[in-house]
This record gives sequence, structure tokens and C-alpha cells, in this order.
Amino acid sequence: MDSGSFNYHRFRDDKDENGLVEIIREYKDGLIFYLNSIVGNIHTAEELAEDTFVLLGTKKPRDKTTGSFKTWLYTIGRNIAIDYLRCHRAGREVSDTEIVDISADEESLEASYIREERKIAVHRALGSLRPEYRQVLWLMYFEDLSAKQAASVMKKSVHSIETLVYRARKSLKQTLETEGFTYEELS
Amino acid sequence: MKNYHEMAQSVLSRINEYETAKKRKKKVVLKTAVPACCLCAAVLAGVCLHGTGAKSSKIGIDDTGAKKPISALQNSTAESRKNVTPKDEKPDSSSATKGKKLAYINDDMLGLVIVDGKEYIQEFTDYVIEETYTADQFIGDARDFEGTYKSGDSSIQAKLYTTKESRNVLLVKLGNGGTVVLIRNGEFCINNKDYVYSSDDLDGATKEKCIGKARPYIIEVPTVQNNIGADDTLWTVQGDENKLIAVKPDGTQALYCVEKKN
Repeated sequence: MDSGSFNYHRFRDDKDENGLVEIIREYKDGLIFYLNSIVGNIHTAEELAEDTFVLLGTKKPRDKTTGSFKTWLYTIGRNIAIDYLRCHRAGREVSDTEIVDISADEESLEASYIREERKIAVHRALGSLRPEYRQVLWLMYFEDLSAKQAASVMKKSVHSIETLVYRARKSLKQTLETEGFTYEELS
Repeated sequence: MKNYHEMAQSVLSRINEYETAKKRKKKVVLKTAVPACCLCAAVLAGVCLHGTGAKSSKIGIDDTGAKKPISALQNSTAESRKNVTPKDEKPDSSSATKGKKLAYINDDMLGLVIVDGKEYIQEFTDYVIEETYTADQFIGDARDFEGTYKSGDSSIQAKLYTTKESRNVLLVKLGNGGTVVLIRNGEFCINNKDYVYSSDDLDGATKEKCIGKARPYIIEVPTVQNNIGADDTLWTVQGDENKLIAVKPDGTQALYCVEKKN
């Protein structure tokens, strides 16, 4: 049992709120970045991450998966994000001041969560890729999930994930090269 | 942006609000349910008393004054029950829907049903997906259709329903209270054939005739993301009518094929 599962059981079975607080502390930033790769707006991603934790607290679903807690949590987050996109298909307009706020918030979160400068540069390049590419690269290279775990989160077969990663890396490499980077690990 | 402490406070307060609202709702339901139940019981008792009186004067005694055997009454009730066709049945909204219990006919078996030549396969069922779909029309017993339920444990009832949310999703409500979500196995449908993603490797397949954009043929399922895109162009494959090539706007190609039905 990983620490996430342990804290969730503490919260659900022992009714200890600190269990949920610990989950939020441990997974909040990663979940926000992952949801940002789906919805493309860090503020919306933050709201959706909060909704995910609220769902854990109100519905108290059973962790049926045999994998890690993180995979399960990200799957719930992804479903909530897809519901959100379905309801807001038309997309909402973002004002200039909001754009400045968004990029400032994203930068500070990057500095605290990703830390390494080179990885931050790669993360920024992800922004110009297709949402599916962003998602798979985030899960596998920033969250260190295996292809099987990423497949479980994205509800795809392992084979689909492998081909998606291949295409995503190719696309990311092109983007990085046009910006003057050489990133050997992605070649 | 909130830090983790602020987010935790906000989450906990929202959970508290939800719990309070739930308790209030429960109170209101209890408050109205008790008098309503009393009223129903009184009405029922009245109807029963009235019915008993009527029976003794009309059914219990025939023209000759002789009493009819009770078994004659029981037979007529049994016959009227038999005449109820499955189509008259409404989705069971009691335990099956509210229990939200994940269930399989056999633990190691993936649910599969073939309806009108289309294959529906069990989707990885988690809490949110199960919440997404609600039963609509009763189609029949899943054990009467080709698929895994036919060969499964025949003692477990398996009612098959369409869903309100998507015509490409079916629900199986099992007699043990479980619900299984079945998703149509295919990404797009052309000439009544469902095509599934095969690989990015064309494996020697060559393009023959352009069919057009994939958009009108795509099988939409709310909880599934397809590999095929609406703007992908579809091509037939030379010498194999069960395969198609899809070309994405960025030039990448993928092979799709018709899966053989079990």
C-alpha cells in the first residue's frame, strides 16, 4: 500500500481529515499540471483538481484498482476534466490581464514542483503540442508513470500509449529544435 | 493560486457543506415520508376492505350460488403475469442503479455481447464511468444474445439496456446487483462494418481509393477517446476490404481493421 492509499483509508475508514490534507499536499501540484495538459488553463486545472479532492471526500469511492493511488486519482481527475470540456466545448475567452496572471502562476508552480530548469523548458514546449501528446508526456516523463499506468489513466491500450509517446516525442523534438534546444534524452 | 493548506481548507469546507445539505435533505424526506406512508397504508387498507367485500358478493359466489375454488383465481393472476412482455419492463432503478457495485459474471471474463451484428465490450468500469450512464430501454436478457453471457453462469439474471447518454453504450444489470458498462467495439463504422485501430505500421498495405474525411463515420462514446480524428482521411486498402488506412492532417498513417466476431 503506497502512502496515498494509506492516507485515503485513514480519511475514509478512520474519518481522519488529516488523511485528505496529506493527499492534497502530496498530489495537488502534479494533478494540477496533469489537468492543465488536458484543459490548457492552469486556473481551470486548479479548480478541477479541487473538484477531484471534493469528490473523494463526498462520494468516498472505493479504490478498486490494484495499481498505485496516484494512477487512480489521476483517472478520476481526467474524467472530471473531460466532463468539464464537454460542458464548456465552446471554450471561454481569456482576457489579457488573466493571461499575465496565468503565466505568472504557472511559472511559480513550475519552479516549486518541477524545479530543474531544463525540465521547465521542456514543460513549456509541451504547451504547443496536442492535448493527448501533452498528457502522455507529462504522465511518463514528469510523473514517472509506466506505459501500463499511463494507459490505465488515459483509458487506452498499452500499444496505443507506446505509439502516442513515439509521436509525441517526435513532435516535441521538432518544437524544441525550432526553439534552439538540443535535448538528447528525447531523441 | 492556492497553496496546499488553503486548498485543503476549501475542500474540507465544501465537503462539510455537502454533508450538511445531505443531512437536511434526509430530514425533509423522513418528515414527509412518515405521513405519506401512513396515508398510503390507510388508502391501501381501505381498498383491501372494499375489495374483500366486493369479492364475497361477485367472485366468491357464482350464479348458482356455489363458491368457486380459490385456485381458479390464482390461475388467472398467474396467466396475466405471464403475458407481460420484456418490452413492457422498465429499467430497475432500485438496488442495481444505486448500489454502484462492480460485477462480473466470472471474475476473469470480459463482458461481451453482440447486438444486431455489433460487438459491445465491457469497459474498464470505475466509479465515474458508471455514474455517466443511465439505463433507458430494456432490450432483453443478455444471455439470449451471442457473447460471453450466453456461456456464463445461467443462474445470474443479466438484463440488457440501452443508455440515455449514448446509443453506442449498453448496460447490463445483473441479478446480483452489479452493473456492467458495455462499449461498442469500434472507432468508426462504414458500410455497416465497425473498424478498430490495428497499428501505426501499415504492414505492406497500400492505399487504393479515398473515401473522404472520417467525421461522418466516427462512433462517438462520451467516456472514450478515439485514435481516429474527425479530420483524418480514410483510404481503402488494395486487396483487403476489411482494412482501411487513416491519414492524419500531419501525414502520419494508421491501419484500421474489422475484427472477426466470436
